[in-house]
Amino acid sequence: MRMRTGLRVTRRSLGRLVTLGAGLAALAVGIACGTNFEPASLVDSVRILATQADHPYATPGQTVSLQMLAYDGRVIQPEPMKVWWLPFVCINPIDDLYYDCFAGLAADGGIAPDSGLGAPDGGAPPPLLKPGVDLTPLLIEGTKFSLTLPANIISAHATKPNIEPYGLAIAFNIACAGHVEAVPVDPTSDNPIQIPIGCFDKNEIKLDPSAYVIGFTRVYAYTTWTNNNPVIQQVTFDGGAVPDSGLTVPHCTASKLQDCQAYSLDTVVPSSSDEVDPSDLGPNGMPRNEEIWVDYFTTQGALDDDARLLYDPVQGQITSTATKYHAPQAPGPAVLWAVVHDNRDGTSWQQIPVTVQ
Amino acid sequence: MRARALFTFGALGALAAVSAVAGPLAAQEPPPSGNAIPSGASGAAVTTKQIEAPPAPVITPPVLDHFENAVYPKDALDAGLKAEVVLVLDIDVTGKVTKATVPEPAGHGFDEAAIAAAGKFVFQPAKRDGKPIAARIKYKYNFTFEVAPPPPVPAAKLPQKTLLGRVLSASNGATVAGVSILVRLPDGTERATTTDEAGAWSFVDLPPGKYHVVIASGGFVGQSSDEEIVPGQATSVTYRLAVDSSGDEVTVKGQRPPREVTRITLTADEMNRIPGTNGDAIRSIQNLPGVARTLTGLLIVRGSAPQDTQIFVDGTPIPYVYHLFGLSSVVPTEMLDKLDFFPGNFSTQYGRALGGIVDVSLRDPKQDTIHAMVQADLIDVRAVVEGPLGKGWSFAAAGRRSWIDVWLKPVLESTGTGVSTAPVYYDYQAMLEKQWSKNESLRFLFFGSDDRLDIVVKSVDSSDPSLTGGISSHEYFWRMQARYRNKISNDTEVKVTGAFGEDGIDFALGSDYLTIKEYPLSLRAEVSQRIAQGITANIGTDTLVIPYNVTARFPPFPVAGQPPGGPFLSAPALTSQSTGSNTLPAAYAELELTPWRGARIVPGVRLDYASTSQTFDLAPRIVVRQDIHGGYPRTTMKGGVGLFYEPPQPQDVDKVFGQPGLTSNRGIQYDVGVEQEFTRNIEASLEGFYKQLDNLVTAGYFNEGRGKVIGLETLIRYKPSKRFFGWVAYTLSRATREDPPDFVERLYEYDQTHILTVLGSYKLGRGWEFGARFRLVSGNLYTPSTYGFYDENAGSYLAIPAYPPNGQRLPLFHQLDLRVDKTWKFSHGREFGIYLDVQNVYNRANAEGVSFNFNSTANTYANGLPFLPSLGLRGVF
Repeated sequence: MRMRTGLRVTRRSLGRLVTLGAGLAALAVGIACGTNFEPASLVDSVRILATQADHPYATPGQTVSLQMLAYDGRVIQPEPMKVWWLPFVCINPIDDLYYDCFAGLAADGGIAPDSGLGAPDGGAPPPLLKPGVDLTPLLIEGTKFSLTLPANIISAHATKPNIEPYGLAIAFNIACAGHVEAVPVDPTSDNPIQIPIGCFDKNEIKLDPSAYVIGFTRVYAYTTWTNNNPVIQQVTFDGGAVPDSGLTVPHCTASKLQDCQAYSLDTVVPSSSDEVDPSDLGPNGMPRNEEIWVDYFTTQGALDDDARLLYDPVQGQITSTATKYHAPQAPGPAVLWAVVHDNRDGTSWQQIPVTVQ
Repeated sequence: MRARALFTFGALGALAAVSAVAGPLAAQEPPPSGNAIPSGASGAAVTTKQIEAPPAPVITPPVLDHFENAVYPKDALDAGLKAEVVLVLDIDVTGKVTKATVPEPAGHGFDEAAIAAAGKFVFQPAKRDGKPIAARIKYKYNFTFEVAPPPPVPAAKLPQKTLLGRVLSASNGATVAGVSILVRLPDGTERATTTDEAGAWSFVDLPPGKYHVVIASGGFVGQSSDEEIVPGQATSVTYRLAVDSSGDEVTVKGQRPPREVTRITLTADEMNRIPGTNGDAIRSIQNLPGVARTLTGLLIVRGSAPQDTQIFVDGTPIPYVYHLFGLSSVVPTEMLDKLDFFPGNFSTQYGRALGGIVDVSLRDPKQDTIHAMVQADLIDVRAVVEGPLGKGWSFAAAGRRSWIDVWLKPVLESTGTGVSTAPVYYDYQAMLEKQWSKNESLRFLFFGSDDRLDIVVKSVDSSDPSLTGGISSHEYFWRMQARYRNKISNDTEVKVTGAFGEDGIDFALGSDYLTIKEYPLSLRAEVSQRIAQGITANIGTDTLVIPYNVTARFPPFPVAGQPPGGPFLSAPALTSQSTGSNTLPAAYAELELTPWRGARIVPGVRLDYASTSQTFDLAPRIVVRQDIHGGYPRTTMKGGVGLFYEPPQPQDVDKVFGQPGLTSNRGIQYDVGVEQEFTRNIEASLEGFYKQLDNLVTAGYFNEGRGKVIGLETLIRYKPSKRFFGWVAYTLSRATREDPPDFVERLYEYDQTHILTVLGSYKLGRGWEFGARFRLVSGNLYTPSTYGFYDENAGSYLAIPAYPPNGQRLPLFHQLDLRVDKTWKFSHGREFGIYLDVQNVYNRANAEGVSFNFNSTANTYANGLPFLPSLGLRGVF
């Protein structure tokens, strides 16, 4: 749940508003907002849950392989979900803004030569994305995608003071329970963010957000800095390791899901995964380690927390990281995921089948 | 012969009668007259024998002509001792006592006292056959006293003020000192007094009845009035004198006439009693015209951002005014004398602000005796002690500590949040003052504030994982201030305020942090000199020097017009470390002119320098007030125009986070208005204002920002009387900005079109007081969002904000707050009070923002405070 108020961080009021905003945010996060929104952890629509790069930090000229985790959690699926990657990679968008990647798209779908959009292999720009045309033949279907970083990706990026030089590549993907078409840019709108593609059903009707997700993944390029994806040592359920065959739980007989029996759910990430972050020199100039957290998702049942902190740059390894899983009221198959992130774009996940008796 | 002296002992009212009883002793030979013992020419005793001889001489003894009362020895009197002292006195032919001795000392000081008194006796000399001769006599001096029973002292014997009040100037409400108040009693007798520096006057022990009161003062039109004193009650009256417009300038003693278009002063009494503010002084400002309503109490004055309004404590700027989350301001109301609020077009003595000015004045310590106050409510506990130190010195010390951490910590921990330091705040004030006279004083003031929290948020908000992990904040400041004031003469006044201190911020959020240490030095000095009739010059300096040390690690801030490109803390962070000093000297000069009847013109100019921009800013200003009708009821037209600057903040020009080369934000402010008295207590003001802003610092675009604010403010005020105060304030305004890159005029994020506040507080008697406040305010602006992209690195959805931003408005805000006080008063100034302050009485669900679900496909209003009672206890000793 997010709340938009008048409080935000601005350069001119940094000290006081950051303090106030953080304090309020902390309370907002720590205390229930009192809303009845469905939790982010419940997968009941088309969702992209994560994307993993084999090299979260890559070097210029290196080829990076991306793997996407997507799932269609809809109960009724008129059309099956498919996943595609857009056939271009955005290199060094202005101010590192993902939506500036589309600034080079013209109203007719043409791509400006200096748009920063290149082919995944670093070659010539892709074909035109004309509105109203099924882009399926142009898109790269599947959960895997590879991109090669240009050799000048770091030198071509605008330098910033007091920061390790880097380059940025952004790949876009879409999980869509239909087909993908280009959406014309609205020439009358000044909104910098305009989504250039959409998901449509067989009748050319644009699908609602439950049927599609448009995502993007950033890959940073550094000369020497590296980053490994965090390792999930194990996921524990009710105090024991989750077996390879998955979990079996009785269905809940209580009238309210929150009154169902709760099982402790935890993810163990070894301290070796909590790498030193060379960009994070604390106030005393000493390097600190990464922040690592775990997102949980489930197709059935409920979780007390959508995500839990595992490692903090200041606090170190966090104690009491477990959350609670409440079994669903209806028997049947379910899926549970634990997706671990570090704050340097490293990702890992574990998918757990659940049989609800 | 008996002498009696009276001594009265203070409160006991006992009477002691001291009598020195003196009387010559009987001689061994029967004295021919009086009580003398003849002793011959040398004073020796003479015996006679019977011989046949010539007839015996006729001898008359000395006769006491002048008796001198002896001083009863104090120690003996205290010990209750009495005595008989036998003196031997040598008396010469003139009757003077040449020698006095005590053959048998009585001790305890009696002998010395008797000798001293006897030495001043004057006798008619002894005579032999009619011829004066020297003589020696014995004289007994009795020291004795009687203790009279103390008369009964009825309680009503202590002086009671039964007729009292104040005298104010009708033209501007300033107090008038030195006014003659004459009261004619029913029996025709008269009593007189004069008003003091506060314009106050009083008569004690006037019995119930009707009185004719005559008020007269040079330079003012005299008045007379009939008043009545009702049994069991005191009668309080405020007289407002019109200036005697004979062409002479009148200097009003007491509060100076305003040097700005609008100055609203709130007294400590008002600040303490406004419902819904929990007695907080700064929160009370939100009820004034031109001030927007905010949830946290931040001051948005005439459409300006909170950081554009400066807050001063007795002329010294402070870095922030509220404790954590805006719960309470950093200076407790109990220490305040008054609060001056200038919404705009203020005097050249203030600068470096495009918004408003708030100057809180701490009151002088009480000087009669030691006093103490303790108060506790749901948020904090506070204590004050003050009193005289002797030789014109007095002191006050106060402290406050929140105790929300006591109940908030378990609440946070129940949600899984780790708590190292639950949110807690302190503030403290210590004052030492020396008053040489009512015109000259020196004050030392040490004050400060400290806010801290340290928590670990373990439950990550998946919509923004950046707001997780360790969140710690320690924000503090302290100042050591010295203030000297001297009204050298009616024409000359000097004020100097200097301060040094420390400001600090230690903030951390995950791996990002901000550490700031500043050591500000401030000096404000002003000389006011009456140059000629109708012309007074004010010349001053307002200088700041701020050495600093800053270390920060944060992602780059968004450029104007750019929606966020991800969760705030997801971009590569920048690091900055800098040490330096900001120097901001300023000088100003202004004239206060009264060229014709009812007119007051104040032109001035201020010159600022800012080391952050290395530029000089020259700001001319002028304020004009003209009484259309100077007497009661007064009508005054007012207006002003001026140039105002606000230098860039240090972080604005930081070489990593900011934009080096910035110049000052600039604004031209126009004001025009009218003030109208309706009754002695009711007055109204209507004021239109227009602010034209340019050269505004804009992220990514240097000084290219522009803006406008236009508005109309209305205030109908019932000035504090014995029982009631209140006002109705309404503001209609519109604040817009033209920011790059497109420079399209849009509503500014702090715009609030309608702001209506109605409040009042009434003393019911017997210590009961009831107050209410109703507010009706336009909803705040917000930016709607729609379903957007999924950021796979952060694992969160990024909504697409509507463009332009701030295009929608939340529903109308309205709320009723009530307050009930009950105070019990005891002897010696002691009192105990309890109050109940209830905010949002009818539990209105006022939207303060919009909450979105994780992918912005659903939203609902996020409501502010619900029905919220706050109970407080207060003891004064």
